[in-house]
Amino acid sequence: MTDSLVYATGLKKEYIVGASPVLVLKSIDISVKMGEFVAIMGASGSGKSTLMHILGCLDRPTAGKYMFNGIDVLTTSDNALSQVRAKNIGFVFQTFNLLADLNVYENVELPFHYSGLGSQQIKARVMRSVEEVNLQHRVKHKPSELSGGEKQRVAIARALAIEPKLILADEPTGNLDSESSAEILKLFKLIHAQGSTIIIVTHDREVAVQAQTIKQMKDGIFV
Amino acid sequence: MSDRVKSQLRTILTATRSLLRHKLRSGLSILGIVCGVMAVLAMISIGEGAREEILRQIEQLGTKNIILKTIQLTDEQHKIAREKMSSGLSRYDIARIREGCKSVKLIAGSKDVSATIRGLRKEISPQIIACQSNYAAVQNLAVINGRFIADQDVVSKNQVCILGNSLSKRMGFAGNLGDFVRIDNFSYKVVGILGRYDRKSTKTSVVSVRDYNEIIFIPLGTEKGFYPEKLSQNNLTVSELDKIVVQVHESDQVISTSSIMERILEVSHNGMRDYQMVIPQELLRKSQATQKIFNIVLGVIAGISLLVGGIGVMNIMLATVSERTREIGIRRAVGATQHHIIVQFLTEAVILTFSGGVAGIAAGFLAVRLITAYAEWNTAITLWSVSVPLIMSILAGVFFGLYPAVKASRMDPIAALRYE
Ligand SMILES: Nc1ncnc2c1ncn2[C@@H]1O[C@H](COP(=O)(O)OP(=O)(O)OP(=O)(O)O)[C@@H](O)[C@H]1O
Ligand SMILES: [Mg+2]
Repeated sequence: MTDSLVYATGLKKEYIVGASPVLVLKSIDISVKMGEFVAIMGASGSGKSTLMHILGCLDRPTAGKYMFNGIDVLTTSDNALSQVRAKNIGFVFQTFNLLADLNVYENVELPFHYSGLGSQQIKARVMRSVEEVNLQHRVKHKPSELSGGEKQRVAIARALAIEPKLILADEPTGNLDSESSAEILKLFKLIHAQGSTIIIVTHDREVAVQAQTIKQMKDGIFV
Repeated sequence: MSDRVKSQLRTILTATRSLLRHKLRSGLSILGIVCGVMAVLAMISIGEGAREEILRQIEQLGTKNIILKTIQLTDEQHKIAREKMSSGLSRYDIARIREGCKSVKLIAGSKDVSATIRGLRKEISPQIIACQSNYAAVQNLAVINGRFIADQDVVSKNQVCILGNSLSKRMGFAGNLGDFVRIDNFSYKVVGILGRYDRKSTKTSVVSVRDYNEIIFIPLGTEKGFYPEKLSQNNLTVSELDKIVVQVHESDQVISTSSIMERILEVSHNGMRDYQMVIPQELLRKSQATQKIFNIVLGVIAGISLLVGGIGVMNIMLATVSERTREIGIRRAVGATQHHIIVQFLTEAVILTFSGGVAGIAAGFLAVRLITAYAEWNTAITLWSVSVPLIMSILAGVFFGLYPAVKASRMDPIAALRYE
C-alpha cells in the first residue's frame, strides 16, 4: 500500500437520477505502483470514465477509500485537490479537450497557470514537452488547424509538461484512425519507458496489450 | 518582472482575448456603461463649472461685503413710503450704520446717474456712477493712473471724474488725465483712470457684476444738478443713494453685522422695506446647498445608468459562462481552483466595464466640449469628473460580474467536461 501511487478500496459512485439512485461504481479496488502502466477495458457505460475522474481527483466517490500519492482524497479540500491536479495529474481525453482560442504552445502551458512555477522553467518544460510529441514546428498553430492525431499529441504534451506523477488517458485513441492511434500508442510506450505512471482506458485490445496490467470492468466492478 | 505580475498580466491578456473574440457583442454590452459614464462625467463637469463660476462671481462681489440696494417702488408703495417718511437709502443710513456697527471697516454709497455725455461720438454712452471715496476699495477697483474720488471731492462737490479702462481708451482725446468730459451741462476734469477690470461673469451669471471698464465715476452729490426738474415731477421722492456697500473687517463678522444693520435700517426707515440686503457670503452658502441637491440628482442618475449598464454586462457574462462550460471543465481538470475561475470571469467583466468607462470618458470629453461650445455653459473637467465615473465603471464590473463568475466557479467540473 505505501509504495502505491494510487490505492483505492471499496470505491462506490452513486448518481441520483430522478428519485432512484444509480450505482455506477459498485466496489472498486485498485492499486497502481509508481511507474506502472495499467489498461482498463470494458463495455460502454460500465463506469470507466467515472472511475478515471475519481482517480484523477476531479470527482469524489460516494463511499470507499482513496489514497493518491499518500494523501487521503476524501478528506482533502477542493482547493488542495486542484493543486494536486495542477502538479501531479495529467489528463488525456478522448475528445482532446484543447482550448480553441489558444495555440499549441499556450494549450500546453495552460496547467502552469495554476501551479506556481517560474516563467523560465515553464518555458523550458513546455518546449521540451512539445518536442517530445514532435510538434515544435506547430507551436503557433491553433487546434482547428491540426489533425485529430496532432490534437491528441498536443493534449499529451499538456499532460506531460507538468511532469505529473500520474497520467490518466480516457480512450485517447477513440477518435483517431488506426495510423494516428499507432502513433499515440507509441508515444505512451515511450512515456512509460521514461518512468511515467499511466492508466489508460481503451476499447482497443491492441492498445491494451501494451500495458503491464489489463483490468476488465463490467457494471461498475472489475472482473 | 515578478512571476506574480506576469501571471496577472496573463489573466488580463486571456480575458481581453476572449472578449475580442466577440467584438460586436462585447461592444454592444458596454453601451449602457459608456452612456452612464459619459453622463456622469458631463454632469460633474457642468456642476464643477457652475460652482467655479458662482464662486468667482461671489468673490468678486466680496465675501466680506454686505450690499444694500434701493428697491424700485410702485406708486402704491410710494404713498406708504411717503407716509412713513422714508425715501430709500441715504447718507443718514451710512452714518447710522457706521455709528452702530463696530465691525464695519469701509462703507461706500453710490448712485447710478442718467445723464448725457456731450461732445462725444454717439456710440459712446457710458454709465455714470456717483459715489464716495471708499467705492474703489470695497469693489476692489484699482486706479492705474491718477487717483480715485477723495472725501474732499464729495464735500466740496468737485467736478472731477475717473474713467474705466477701456472707456478711457475709446474716448481718445477726452480720456487723458487733465482732459475735460462734459456731462450734462457740466465739465468734469479727468483725475484718474482705472486698471483693467476682469469681469468674471457671463450670460449665466446668478448675480450681475458691473462692467467697470465702461464706467465714469463722479463724486457723490455732484449729480444733483443734472435733473432738478425731474425731482419735482409727480412729487416722487427719488432716493439719494442706489447702493451702499458695507465691508467688515473679517468675513465671519458678516452675518452678525448684517442683522445689526437690519435693525438699524428698520428703525430709520420706519419699517418701510424700500431697500434690499444682498449678502454675497449668503449666496455662496445657498449655492452650496443647491450644489448638494444637484449632486444627489447626479448620483441618482449615475446610479440608474450604471445599474442598467451593469445588468447588460451581467447578461453577457452569464451567456459567456454558459457558452464556455467546457472550457471551465478543462481548466478545472488541469488544476484551476474555484478561485481561479472567479478571478478569470471577474477580470473579463471588469475589463468590459472599464473599457466602457474609458470610452465613456472619451465620449464625455466630447460632450462637454459641445456643451461648452453650443450652450455656452461654463464647464470644468476636473480630476473628480474623470476619476469618479471611471472608478464607478470598475466597481460596476466587480458588482455585476460577481454573480456570473461565482456561477462559473460552482460548476461541477465533471458535468462541465461532459457538456456538449
Ligand atoms: N451525472 C450523471 N448522472 C447520472 N448518471 C450518470 C452521470 N454521469 C454518468 N452517468 C452514468 O454512469 C454510467 C457510467 O458512465 P461512464 O461515462 O463512466 O461510462 P464509460 O464506461 O466511460 O462509458 P464509455 O465507454 O461510453 O465512455 C453511465 O450509465 C452513465 O449514464
Ligand atoms: Mg467514458
